[in-house]
Formats: sequence, structure tokens, C-alpha cells
Amino acid sequence: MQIWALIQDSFRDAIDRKIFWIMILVSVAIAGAMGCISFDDRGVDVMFGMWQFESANWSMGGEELRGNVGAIVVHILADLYLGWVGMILALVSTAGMIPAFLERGRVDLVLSKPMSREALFMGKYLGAMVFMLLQATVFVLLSFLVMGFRWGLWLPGYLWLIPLIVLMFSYLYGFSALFGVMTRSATSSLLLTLLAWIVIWTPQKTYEFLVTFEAQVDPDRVWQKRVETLRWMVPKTQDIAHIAGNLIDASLMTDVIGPDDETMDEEDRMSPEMARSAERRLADVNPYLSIGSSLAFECALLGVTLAIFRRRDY
Amino acid sequence: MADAVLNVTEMTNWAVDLIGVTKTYGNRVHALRGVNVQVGRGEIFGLLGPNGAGKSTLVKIMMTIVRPNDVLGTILGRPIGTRRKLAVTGYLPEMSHFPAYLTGIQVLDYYSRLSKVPRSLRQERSGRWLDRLGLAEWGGARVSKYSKGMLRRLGLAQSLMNDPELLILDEPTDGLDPMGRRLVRTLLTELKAEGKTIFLNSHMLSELEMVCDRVAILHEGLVARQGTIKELTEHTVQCQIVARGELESARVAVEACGGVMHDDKILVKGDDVRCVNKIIDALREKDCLIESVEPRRFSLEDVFVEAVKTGGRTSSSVGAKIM
Ligand SMILES: Nc1ncnc2c1ncn2[C@@H]1O[C@H](COP(=O)(O)OP(=O)(O)OP(=O)(O)O)[C@@H](O)[C@H]1O
Ligand SMILES: [Mg+2]
Repeated sequence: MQIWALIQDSFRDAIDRKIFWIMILVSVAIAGAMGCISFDDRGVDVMFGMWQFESANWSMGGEELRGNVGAIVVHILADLYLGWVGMILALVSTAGMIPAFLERGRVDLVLSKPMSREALFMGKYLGAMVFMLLQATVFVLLSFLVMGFRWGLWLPGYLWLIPLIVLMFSYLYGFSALFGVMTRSATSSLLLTLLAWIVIWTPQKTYEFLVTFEAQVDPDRVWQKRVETLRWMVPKTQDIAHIAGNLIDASLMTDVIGPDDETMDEEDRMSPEMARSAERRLADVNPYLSIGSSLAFECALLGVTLAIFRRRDY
Repeated sequence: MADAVLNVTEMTNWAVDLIGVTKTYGNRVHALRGVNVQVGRGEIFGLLGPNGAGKSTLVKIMMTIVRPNDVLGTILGRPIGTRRKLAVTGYLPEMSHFPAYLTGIQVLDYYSRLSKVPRSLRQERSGRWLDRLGLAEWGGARVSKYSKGMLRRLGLAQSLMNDPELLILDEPTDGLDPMGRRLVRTLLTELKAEGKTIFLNSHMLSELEMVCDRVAILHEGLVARQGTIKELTEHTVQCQIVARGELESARVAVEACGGVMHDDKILVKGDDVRCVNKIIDALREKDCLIESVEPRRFSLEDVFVEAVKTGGRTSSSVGAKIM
């Protein structure tokens, strides 16, 4: 009952903030824009007949065209929310929650209630997750329904984005909560969180670089192994995009396009063989290992935050 | 076995029994330096002290908001911070800052949910306390629209929502108008009649005198005085004799009886009537005219000022001992 009260409070806190509604508005606007595009036998129709594109010009049938446009759109949407745009919006809207909760005169009262500090903190933490779950659900579900009803493109795999967005957010929110407890300031905790994001992003990006240009810079894979160890220790934010991409692609293949014909890869101009294999290797993420080790990091971070929160005088 | 022991301790007379509370903020600010405070069940206890004496720190330690360096003793018969007892303790913080997005009723509901008050009781009580504290019409308004005094009243209502056995109030009348102050005083007396124990901090000495059974004066992190108001003010009873005439000639006799001469006034410490009469005899012998004889009981304020003065601080400096 107490935890639920805390979660509900976070929820009220969230919907009282303008940015919450701005994010909802953005989701609605994106879904609306998608709704303005429709497909029929002849081709694509934008803005209810304002522009029409004949499918004959693309040398593919209406059905195939729809599948390809759909594939591009879902990948763009996934990148939007799992990339920095969506995450920064989410971090900005939640950065103030813990510092506000710890304000003088406000924290006093909750600490005097018959519940442990751990439970209090977890209630607040879960509150932020509920907030993100709500945002992600609105965003993903709206675009899912528009694709289904307007385009006739039902992609159940696309719904995996909802838990993945929450997961991605939780990796970063772990930092936000820690810095929120430490600094008790929304701005400082936001900036420090972004900094931490850069810090954990660096080994991941370096690793990607080393894998891609293996032959040129690191043929013995010495550096690659070292960076990989480092990469295993931090939350793997980059992997989530790969996992999402894999799930969406799987869904696209089984539900829409049919077996992969590898048309896209052949267009690689540089050294197609190598680029493809590097890309494959990077995308070939074991979700259990990646998510498990990242969650272990998040738990450790939570442990540190709780230890600080427990000792503090307010 | 252990249960039996606990039950015995639970039956001690003290609702609050703190021994040797020490708190140092950082390494330097010695906010509390071994405070002993006892509060009997069913009494109203007042904690007095200048700004920065450590009153709020003591209260926060009782509510587990601040972690003491050292503490022994019990609250409601259990070690400090026992959760079951926090559920039957009401607390009004020094400043209450409620989430601006809540209405008065939602505030009461939210905080009493955290205190595990069942839903049916929450509804009934929030209506009752809002009404009692004069906020009946404001229950549905957001707290961001409340005035300072209204927030204070809401804070009080909040502290009463769990029907507490022990009520801990940090300056309950701060920011209230005279009507509000009176309301709080009557409320406290009523609560006491219901058998609740009340622990309050205040600067408002005259108010404490009206409602408190016992007080402690805290100064620089130590209890300077503790006792009933009568006990504290008793040994400062004086008798003042005003006379005219050749007072100087009677000085020796007056001083022999324990009187102190200030111009035309003679002050006699204590309430020994014989001393006073002897002094009057001595004065009359020298043909002095007695104008008035009046007993003067020192107010709590005098005791307070004296306690703080003997603590060695100038009256304007504040804060804990910093070493
Ligand atoms: N969180 C804190 N960190 C560091 N020092 C603190 C903290 N809280 C209080 N202090 C110090 O402890 C001392 C006691 O403060 P406290 O708030 O208990 O005083 P008080 O008696 O309640 O004063 P007032 O009458 O002004 O409310 C003060 O010197 C104050 O500076
Ligand atoms: Mg105070």
C-alpha cells in the first residue's frame, strides 16, 4: 500500500509537469503524421490525396513498397526513442523528481513515516519507471495502431520497444537517481547523468569502431579484447538498439516481407564483405547476457545510492 | 521471554525517555552534546531554547530523520525508530513543504497512506481535521494556493491523521494568527484529555506557560533546566519591598536578612515570610515608610533568559557550539 502511494505520487508529480504533456503531444503528432500516409494498390498517398506517388516508379509492387516503407519508419521511430532525443527528453522530465522529493520540509515528513528508507527510495525509483512505461506505451501503441489500421501493417515485434525503452531509461535513470540523491539539484543531476552517459558510451563506441575497422587498426584484436572487458562492465545502452532492431526485423520478416533477400547489404559500396560481417557481429547481441550484465551494474549503482540515502541527515 | 521483557519496558511511565543524545553535524557543529529528556505519558512537554540550540535536531532524531551519533532510551517503550511506533506518532516538521500538485485532501490522504491508515478512516478523519482546523472550504484546493498559516494548519491536520499516541510538533504555532494560536492551544488540551502525549518545540514562551506540564530549556546542545513550570519558576520567587526614608541606615540589618538593596527597592530571594517581616521591622526601626510589599514570581521568560545567560552566550549569538 505504501509503495503504491509513492508510485502514485510520482505519477501525479509527472503529469503536473509540462514536459510530460509535451512528450505526449510529440507522440500524438508523430502518429498523426504517420496517419497522413496511406498505401493502396497504385502506390503511396500523402495528406489524403494531396500528393500521390505511383508505385510503378519504384519498380516494386504496392505490397512490397508498404513493407519497405514500414521497415524504414519503425527503425526511425526506434532510433528516435532509444537514441538521445527520446532519452534526453525522458531524463529531463524525471531529473527533478528525486531532488524535489528530498527538499527540506518535504523529505522530513516521508522519512517520519513507518517505512524504511530503502522502501521509500524504491517507491520513488519505480515511480519514474512507471512514468517512462506510460510514455513509451503511448508512443509505441499509437504508432503501432496507426501502422496497423492505416497501412495494414501489423508488427507485433514492434511492441517490444515498450519494455526496451523502459529498460534503456532505467540504465540511465540509475545515474540520475544517484546524482539526485548526492546533489539534490535537478540541473546538476541532469548534467552529471549526461556526463555519465558519455562515459559509458565511450567504451561501447570504441568497441564498435575497433570491430568495424579491425583489419586496418587492430588486426590482432588486442585492443578489441581490452575494450570489450571494459564494455562488459558498463550498462550496454548501445546494445538495446541492436536488440530492438533484431526483434523488429524478425517481426518484419515473418509478418510482412518474408524471407530475407539481402537486397540492402549488396548496396554497400566500400568493402561489402567486411562491412557486412562487422555489422552482423555487432548486431549479434546475446540479449540475456547484455541485459543481465547491465542490470547488474544498475543494481550496484542502486546499492550505492541507497547506502548514501540511508546515511544522510535531512 | 524477550516479549515479556519488551512488554515490561513498554509499560514504563515515560512516553519519551532519551538518554545522552549526541549529534555532531560534520566534524564541527556540535548540535547536541548529551541531552537527557523524559516525557511522561499523557503530558504536554515543551522544549525551549534559543535559535540553533538543537531543538529541531532532537525532534528529527526522534523521527529518524537525522541519525544521532549516540542515543540510548526509548520512545513509547521501544528503541528510537521502531517502525510500529512511528505509525502511532504524529509529526509536524519545522517547515512543511507539500507537493504543489496535491490538494489539501490529497495531502492528508497521501501521508496517512504512508502511515498505513485504512481508507475508510482516512476519509472520515481528513474531513474532520480539515473542519476542525478551519480549512473545510479549502480541502479541494491545491496547496500551492494556500497561505503560510493555512499550510501550517494543514500540517497539523496531517500530523493527527494517524490518531497518534505521541504527537511531536516543531513550533506548531509558527505563522499562525492569534485565533489560530488559540485554536492550537485548545486542541492540545483536548488531545491531552484524550490521553495523548505531546512534545512540542517553541519560542513562544507565554504559550508554553499556558499549556505545558513540563518544560526543558535547551542551550547549546545541553539541557540547561528541566522540570514543571512551577519547579522552574519557584526558586526565582522574589519579594520586592519599596520604601522611603533613610534606607542606607538600615542596610546592614537588611543585608543580614538576605535582602538586596537597589535605590528605594529591596529584593528578597525566596518566599520566606519571616525574612520579609524582619526586614520590614528593621526598616520601621529606622523610621522608613513602607510603600509596598509585593511578591514577584519570575516568568518562564526570565528563567529562560537566565539559563541562556549563565550558559555564557551573549543574547544575540545563535547556533550550536562549533569547535
Ligand atoms: N543538516 C544540517 N547540517 C549541518 N548543521 C546543521 C544541520 N541542521 C542543523 N544544523 C546545526 O545544528 C544546530 C542546531 O540546529 P537546530 O535546527 O536543531 O536548531 P533549533 O533549536 O531548532 O533552532 P530554531 O529555533 O532556529 O529552529 C545549528 O547550529 C545548526 O546550524
Ligand atoms: Mg528548529
